[in-house]
Amino acid sequence: MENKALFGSWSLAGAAATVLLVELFEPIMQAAVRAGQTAAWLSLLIAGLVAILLYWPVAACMANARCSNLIKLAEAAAGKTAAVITSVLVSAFVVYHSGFILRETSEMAVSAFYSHTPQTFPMVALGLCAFGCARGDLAGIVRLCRTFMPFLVGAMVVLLAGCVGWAKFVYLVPVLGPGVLPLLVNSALLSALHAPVALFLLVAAGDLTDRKRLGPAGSVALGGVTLLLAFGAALFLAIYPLPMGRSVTFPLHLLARLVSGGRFFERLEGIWIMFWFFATACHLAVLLHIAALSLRDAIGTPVKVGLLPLAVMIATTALFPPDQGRVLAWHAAAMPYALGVGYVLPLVLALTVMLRRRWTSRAG
Amino acid sequence: MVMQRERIPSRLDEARAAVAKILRWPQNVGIEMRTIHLQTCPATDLVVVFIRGLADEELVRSWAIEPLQRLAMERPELGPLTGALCEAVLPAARLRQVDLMPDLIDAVLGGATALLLEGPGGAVVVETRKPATRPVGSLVMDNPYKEIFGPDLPDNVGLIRCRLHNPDLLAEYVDLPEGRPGRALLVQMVGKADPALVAKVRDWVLRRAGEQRFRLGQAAGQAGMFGLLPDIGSTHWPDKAATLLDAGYVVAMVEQVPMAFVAPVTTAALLLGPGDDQLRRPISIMLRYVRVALCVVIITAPALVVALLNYHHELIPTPFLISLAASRESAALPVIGEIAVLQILQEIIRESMFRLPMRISTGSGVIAGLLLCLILFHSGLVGAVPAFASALTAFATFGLPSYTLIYLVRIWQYPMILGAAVFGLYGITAVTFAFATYLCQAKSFGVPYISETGVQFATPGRESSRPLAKGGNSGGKQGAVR
Amino acid sequence: MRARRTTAAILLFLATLLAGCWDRMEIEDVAYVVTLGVDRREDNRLLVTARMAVVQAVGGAGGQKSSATGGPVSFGLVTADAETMNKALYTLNGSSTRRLDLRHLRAVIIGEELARSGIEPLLMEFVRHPQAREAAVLILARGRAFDVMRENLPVIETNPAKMTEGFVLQSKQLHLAPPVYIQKFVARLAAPGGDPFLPVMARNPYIKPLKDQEPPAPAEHSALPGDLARGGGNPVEFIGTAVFRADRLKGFLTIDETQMLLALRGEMGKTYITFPDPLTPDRQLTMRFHQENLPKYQTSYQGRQPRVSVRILFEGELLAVPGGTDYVHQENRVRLEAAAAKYAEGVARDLLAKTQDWGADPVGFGHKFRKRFATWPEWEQYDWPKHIKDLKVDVSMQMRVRRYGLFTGPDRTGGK
Repeated sequence: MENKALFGSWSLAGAAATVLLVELFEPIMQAAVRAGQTAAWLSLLIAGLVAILLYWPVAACMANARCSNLIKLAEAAAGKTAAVITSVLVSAFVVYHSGFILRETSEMAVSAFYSHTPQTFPMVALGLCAFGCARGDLAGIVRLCRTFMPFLVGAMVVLLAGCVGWAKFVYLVPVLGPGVLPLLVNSALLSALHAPVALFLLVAAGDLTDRKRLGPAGSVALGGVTLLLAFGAALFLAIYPLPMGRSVTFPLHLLARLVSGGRFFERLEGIWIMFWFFATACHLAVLLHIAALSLRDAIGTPVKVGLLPLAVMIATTALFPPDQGRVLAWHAAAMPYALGVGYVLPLVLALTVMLRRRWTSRAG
Repeated sequence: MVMQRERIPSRLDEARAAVAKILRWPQNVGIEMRTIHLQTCPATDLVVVFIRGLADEELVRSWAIEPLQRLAMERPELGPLTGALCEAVLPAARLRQVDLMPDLIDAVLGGATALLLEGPGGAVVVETRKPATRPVGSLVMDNPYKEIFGPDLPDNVGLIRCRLHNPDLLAEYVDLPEGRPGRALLVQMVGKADPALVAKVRDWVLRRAGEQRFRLGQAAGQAGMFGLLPDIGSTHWPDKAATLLDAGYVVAMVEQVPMAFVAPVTTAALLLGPGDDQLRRPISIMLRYVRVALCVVIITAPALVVALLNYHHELIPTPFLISLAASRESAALPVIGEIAVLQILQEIIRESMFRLPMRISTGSGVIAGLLLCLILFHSGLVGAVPAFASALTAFATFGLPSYTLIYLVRIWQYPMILGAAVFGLYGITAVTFAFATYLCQAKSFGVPYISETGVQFATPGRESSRPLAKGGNSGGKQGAVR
Repeated sequence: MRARRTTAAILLFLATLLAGCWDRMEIEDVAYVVTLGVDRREDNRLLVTARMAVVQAVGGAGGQKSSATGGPVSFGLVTADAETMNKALYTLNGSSTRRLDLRHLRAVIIGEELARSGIEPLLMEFVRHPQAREAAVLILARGRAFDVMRENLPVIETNPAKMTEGFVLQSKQLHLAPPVYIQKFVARLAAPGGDPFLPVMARNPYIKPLKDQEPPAPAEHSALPGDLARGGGNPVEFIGTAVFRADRLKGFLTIDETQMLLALRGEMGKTYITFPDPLTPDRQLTMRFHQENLPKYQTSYQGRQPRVSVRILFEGELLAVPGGTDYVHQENRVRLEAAAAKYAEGVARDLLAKTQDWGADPVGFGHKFRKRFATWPEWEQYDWPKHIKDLKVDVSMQMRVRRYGLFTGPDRTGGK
């Protein structure tokens, strides 16, 4: 029998970075602008820091408690029922979030490039790609994400570097945005943006070679991409300043329209659609797979069996909002709840496990 | 195995055992260790050690064994042979007395014959290396060997030993099942190859090479779906095999099949060209990236033309776009049609070229390509840009070092073109993603095709780049990515 | 079974792709609009004029000939009246056998009347549009954009994309007008703390074919756009600046004022400036001014009145000294430097008086005050435009003459 394929912490970090990169060009970047105003970049930095601070203890606890992943952690904390509830919550979050990401990306493809094409077609192509990828084993998906991570990061860096000439950084002043307290509170809530990655890391941890590296791997990915995100936000607001910047649907796409390679290659935004597709497909595949994994660990359905209903639900969610405006509004409205699934729930579970262990060891 | 710089034992049986241990005789194919009884008075035991394929057996006979046999026969009164006597009898220019075991092993690995005798100073080395005249393959730039594998197994092992001067190189026969004629053998670097991998390759040899009809094209099962990827690689080049062995790969050979099978297949192995191990590191690394770029060009060039000319006009510089549009005013076919015509033409020329005798195939291929392309262009059937893209891909395929790779990228062009035709760059990306998923999920002998991150290569002489080094995927962690 | 399933999946995937193709367009089926002019008409209607790159069949079938080798590439100009730019373009398709496409749009020209009534909605139409791009140059036409586009006949240009954009490429180096792109205008419009401005393209009414025209008389002309003393060639000229308060046009600047505006913004680069010779008062001399460093700003408040002091350093190269003074001489050089700085200061003061009178802040003095506010709401509340008229600006300029060309003495050969 073939042994289970494992992956190392660097692969995990690379894959997590790919999963995170999607945030750079999805409309959820708008959330950062709304939260931080002129200090959107600072807001993203704080959000990244908060995400790391919330994520690290769970990862550390998982390594110590010898729970292979989040579901096992839930089972150790409060039994089978808790595991089932956790897996259902994770799946529900994945369905909701992935559905909207799928819809937003295809909306972008249609409104930016293929204006005569029905919106469902880019969606079906993207969805099928992600679904096909999710059917593979986790190590393969992680390998795929990690393989493309340097290219995606490179593309993003080129995009941002190509826009620097358009930026006027005086638009980032006043530096404190909405003021210290609102900035801190909004930024902490903004860390909900990274919840999909935290969930990915915590569920995928089951196949990690050395679970002690789970914390560092996730933090490296979160930290690295946070820097890129912060730079992206700063650049965006230095090019499309407030108050206009608040209402831009696809911030990075608007930046991509400005990048030019000299006087001859003046419009290169078509190139970045490739990277967006890739990052989004990786994001969706990873989330879909971990939702199926969590269901497997909780109720024992094989991954490939669990995938199909999940995919159908994601497609339904994607098709549910009647218009682009509501896609963005609903996604943004639900994002703060991700904080609960992505950080609070794992943290509570981890604390319970730790307390129980201490209690049993003292009793023993 | 790290050899101590120890002296060769003066007792013959001890010396013999030590050499046998280091060279893994008798298990190791190609290592010849014979004991000859010389009729001196009292009788002398002479142990002869050499490697088949490296040492010229005619020279071993005429320069090492025969003079001693003659001496023993003609002058038995001299008593047991000693090292000093050997020196007196054997050709002086090719003779060397050795004291240390590493020197002896080194000489044997270099094609010399070792003669071991009882008593101190009883180890003598005679230079018997075969002059390098072997079947010559195509001339690859800067590859000093220009040799390819032949049908004889020990000879083939010798070809590898020429390049891997290492006692840890172990070649052993695998007993094929009853009824299958011929033999097969496994080559590995002990200490570098993962034992689990070796066991799997042994299974493969027993299962597949043991079959009555052994087909090269389907030598193994399929690594991925649709049979696009083989799960074992093959090469004609001993130096490529040696490089991969050194990186922890396992080589299998079947008698009468003039090539080596390399397991597992990885993108790194597919991109390794013959002669690469002769180049300096920066250059060999650059070459591999060039090959990656070639793959990208072959897969994407025609598709990109379709995507740009049909969907993403904004990516084309305005003046060029205007002149392109002018040239397409009288176009007979849509861009996708032009690309289709050119691709069909390309396949026709390529296939016809392979069927022609070697001497005229290159020239006629070039002429056919040039002529047909020119005619098509001037008749207005195809435009300059599609013609350029098609010619570029056709030529780029010649730069790839393995046929597996060439067929893979050639076949992948078509879904790409289709994707571009229906959805522009978005379609190209969708197909690329599907392809990448396929490649990332594919495994060969439990090792992922894309080992480690990105395009990392089994660079000769670099420890950390071994995707399958021991420990990486042993101990029940098959396919572990570092 | 497994193979059959995967084949089915692949086929399904390909089928979805096959259903695509709606956006497929061969390049010969598209008419690329390279310049777009927009004018205001009554009832908030727009007159949209489009210049298309018209491609005609060139040479033998399949073969290509570039326009430079004699291929007839001509330019089509069409115009339509509609409520919005999109509607006008849509309507124009009705008279075109090829689909009008904005992906290669290089320049947008805005008519003066439209600019006076506000151009924000029009610009946002471009930002929203999937094909138009924000990197296209934005130009103000003195008079109607329609006329400017109709009469723009570059003497040596064959590439339609460069017919308008070429002016901007020029202005990037010579600064007769400021180069402005849609993104820059929109950003300046959006961010409180400065006002946008545009380069001006104007039809010079004096220009006739040179054979019908006498050399221009200086008395009738000025350095304002559309008023230059020249004859022959392209009737359209690309000089000067149009200053906006928010999205409404307020007035025009001359070439010299444009240069000083750019100098105050730190974007001047190298320009040619002619001013009175300090030692030969009836003559003028020409220098190339070069702004090497960014201007140094200091902001302060006197009571509630905002104050800005700005120091600018120019480097100069002497180009023409008709007065014949030897300015290499130390004493003369100092006087020359003082005169140059004084002239530039004078122009800058005139410029600021003008723009402050219009209530506009094209320099972006407001942005210098941004850092005095800790939070965005405070800054937004401060409402910078209200304070523009109170603003006290203290300009001090310095000149260092660095070079004298290839000939160092006075403009005299020394012969008697």
